Amino acid sequence: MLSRTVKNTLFASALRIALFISLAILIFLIGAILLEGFKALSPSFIVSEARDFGAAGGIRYQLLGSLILIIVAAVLVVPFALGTALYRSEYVTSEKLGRCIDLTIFSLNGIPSITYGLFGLIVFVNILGMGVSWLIGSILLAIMILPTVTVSTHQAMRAIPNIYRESALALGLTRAEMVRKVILPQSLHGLVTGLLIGLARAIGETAPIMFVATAFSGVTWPQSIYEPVSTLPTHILALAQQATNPDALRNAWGASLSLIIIVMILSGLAFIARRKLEPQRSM
Amino acid sequence: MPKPELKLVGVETQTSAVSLKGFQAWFGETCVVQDMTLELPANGVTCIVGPSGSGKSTLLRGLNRINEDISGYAMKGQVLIQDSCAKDGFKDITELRAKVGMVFQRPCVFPCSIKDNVLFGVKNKRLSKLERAALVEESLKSAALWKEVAHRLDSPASTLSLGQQQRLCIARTLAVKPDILLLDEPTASVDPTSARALETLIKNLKDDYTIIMVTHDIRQTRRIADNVLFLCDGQVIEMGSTDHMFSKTAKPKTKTYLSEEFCDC
Ligand SMILES: Nc1ncnc2c1ncn2[C@@H]1O[C@H](COP(=O)(O)OP(=O)(O)OP(=O)(O)O)[C@@H](O)[C@H]1O
Ligand SMILES: [Mg+2]
Repeated sequence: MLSRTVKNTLFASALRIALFISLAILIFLIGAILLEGFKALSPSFIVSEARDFGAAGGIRYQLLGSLILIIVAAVLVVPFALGTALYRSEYVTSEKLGRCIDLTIFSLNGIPSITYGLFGLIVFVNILGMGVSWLIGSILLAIMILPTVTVSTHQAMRAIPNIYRESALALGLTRAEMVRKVILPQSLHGLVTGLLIGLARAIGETAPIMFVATAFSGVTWPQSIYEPVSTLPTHILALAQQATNPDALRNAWGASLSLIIIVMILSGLAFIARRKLEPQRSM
Repeated sequence: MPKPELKLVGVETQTSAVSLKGFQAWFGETCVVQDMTLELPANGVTCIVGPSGSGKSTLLRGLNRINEDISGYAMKGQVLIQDSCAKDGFKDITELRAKVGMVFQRPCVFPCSIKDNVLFGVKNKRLSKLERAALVEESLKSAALWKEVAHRLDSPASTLSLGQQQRLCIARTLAVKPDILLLDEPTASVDPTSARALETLIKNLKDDYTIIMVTHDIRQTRRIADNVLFLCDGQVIEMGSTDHMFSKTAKPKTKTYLSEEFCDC
């Protein structure tokens, strides 16, 4: 039998080894991306067009395409997420209906992203007969992040103590006025945080948009909604398929690093938004 | 069998601010306020006292219908506010609530400035900047808070002390110009000094407003009440002037409760 001290020491060493391994993997990953990425990344890489299927030139239209997709997705998702969260939090009185809504949103969150791509293909292209369009991509990304944004907003609303609602109603405010003056300001941080986290995820997605909204090369600024865009993740995919070409591979790292920087900016903003916008409640 | 109407014992007939006719309140299957018929006089302070769970808050919250958002709540009978039915005598529920203001046990200021808190329930959009400022000053003065906050109306309301926050809650209720003030244990969550300040404030307000107040503090009741309504298990045991209730009552339950002895009614 091992003594207790020996057991404790063994256990602590095991933990330390686990921690060391996970840290090492993380550091290796970040190091590799930084090291390889910065070989390609430069101001001219960001602003110049891709040439030779991406092996030369930069990521100008891929970056713009990705930004268009998530900005429009953000505009689309906000009214629906806010509406759903508000309705769920302030207007649903039946416990049962509330749980149904929660369950639906929860399971929506578990759908693999490729399914959204397939869904887009079937609904927009096969049924509605639309061609390839970047707008469909934005719509699919908006649908994909809807649960994230809704849940985050709803949680912020649920955290508002009921006494705030009663205090406002007792002053003679209508329910709509109460929602506008009490609920919205005190849940804004949830909406913004959820949105930024959702977008950080959306910008890195390839699966939902690759059938219907993007093209792999030769795309510039879209002239109408019936055109595809090129995006960073699909560009990386295309470059990685030319792995034997060292130039293409270098640019793939450069594009990855750009994508990661955007994701980190979005996550950082989410972190700041949570702290800055959170209401200073006294209870 | 309908109960006889409860008249104030030891008080001349006054105009009534609130009258209840067969008022009952239910949570699900439980009746927590049972068939009350009574009249509360205009102006002055009426204290509602009684053991915990006796239905004091439920009664109070029936008067401005703030309980109606709680699922499972139901009321029967009639509530008359200055002779208008609370249910349909007003244009809508917001008008009723503007007439019948309410302040809760725990001060609840909104996360905005002191000034915006005072104006929170003021809906008149045509008020000029000057009129708004005047309204803020008037309300804060009535709530005995003006001197302490006049120089920092724009700072966040959460920076005030609890006692000040509670006076701000009163100020913001007064800014809507109610006739009746419902106070549910307004001094219960503040320190003794602030509680005394609030008592003085309530005494000063009672000439202009009808104040109906729930309290657990018997001594406070003796200090500020004009009339006392004693509830037990959802029923009115007795109602009368403070003098009558504390020294002349013949009912043993009232005697025991108001002498702060253990009461198992
Ligand atoms: N939201 C609710 N749902 C169900 N029952 C409730 C609800 N609110 C109050 N009750 C019940 O109604 C009864 C009266 O409650 P009420 O809050 O009016 O008592 P109270 O006299 O104000 O007590 P306290 O002095 O502790 O504040 C209690 O039995 C309570 O359990
Ligand atoms: Mg109570």
